[in-house]
Amino acid sequence: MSLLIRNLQRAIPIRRVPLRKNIEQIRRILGVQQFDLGVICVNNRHIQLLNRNYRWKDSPTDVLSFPFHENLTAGELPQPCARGEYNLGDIFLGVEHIYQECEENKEDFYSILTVTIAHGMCHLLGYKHSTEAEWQQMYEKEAQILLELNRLSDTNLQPLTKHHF
Amino acid sequence: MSGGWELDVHGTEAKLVRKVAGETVTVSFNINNSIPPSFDEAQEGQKPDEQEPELTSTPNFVVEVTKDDTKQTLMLDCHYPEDEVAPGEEEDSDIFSIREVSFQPTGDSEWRDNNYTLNTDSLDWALYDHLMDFLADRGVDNTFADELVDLSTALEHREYIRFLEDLKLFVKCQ
Repeated sequence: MSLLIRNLQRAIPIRRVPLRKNIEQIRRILGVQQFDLGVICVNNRHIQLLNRNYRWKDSPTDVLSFPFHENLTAGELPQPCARGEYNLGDIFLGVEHIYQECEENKEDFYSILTVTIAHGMCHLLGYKHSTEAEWQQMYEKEAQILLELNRLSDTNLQPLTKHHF
Repeated sequence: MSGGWELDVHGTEAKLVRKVAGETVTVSFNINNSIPPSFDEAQEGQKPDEQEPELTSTPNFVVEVTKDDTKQTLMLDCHYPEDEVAPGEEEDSDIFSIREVSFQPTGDSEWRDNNYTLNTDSLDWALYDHLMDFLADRGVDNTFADELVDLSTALEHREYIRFLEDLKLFVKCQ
């Protein structure tokens, strides 16, 4: 099934091919290659508008996930009943915000982008981090994904939720 | 336009040319019929003269890439999204898209119909991403596409004013 990447912004140059490669690796690790997925790169203004409209927070953020299958139990894959339900949903990447944070923290942009995508995909699969227990579960899942990713690509990526609690 | 492009304008046809690393990149567009129709229905409670949308020119443009040591030119026909964005909402499409790709003999100004043309509607998305990165490496990226809109809008406005002035003179003639 297809991975659709869109780049709606000009603030940060984005190379689609390495971004696709990273996302496809994460899909394989999660076992969700059969599901459609949308990844949309947006600027601060756009992500702030989404954050305000859907989370009532009037500020830019790094990622917002919009799952196709709502109320999934974390750790369980969707069980589609029809062809049209082979869809995970959309991940909006606030690439301008991510880039600015990377500049401040002296981190590699594409590494943080990869970690952010892994985080966003966990949200699409029902993982949350509103409580400490949820955070623990999500952190372990992200760590599991990144452990495999690090093995495949000789990197040292750490979960986005590492310092959340 | 940023990026070292040379601009050449003949009437409504414009050409941007850039030479880099053994390649010549040309972007051509025509400002005729480049302003998409806007919504006719007024917003609820809005007076007719209030907050009319700005008219921008979003022409289709053709990118030609010629490597100096070949006789073939790779041509990519690019379009801006056609859907109008409602006030208060953000765009949800790529800033521009590649619609068709074809090889044409270098120096031929006309698009030959008997050369195979790849339509991206059913193209594998991974290959599509390669083509977009290919263009970005040659300076045709989202920043370029946005600046092209500004350029085309300015050219279209200039030609529109010129046309109105010519029309005024023509109507006055006895």
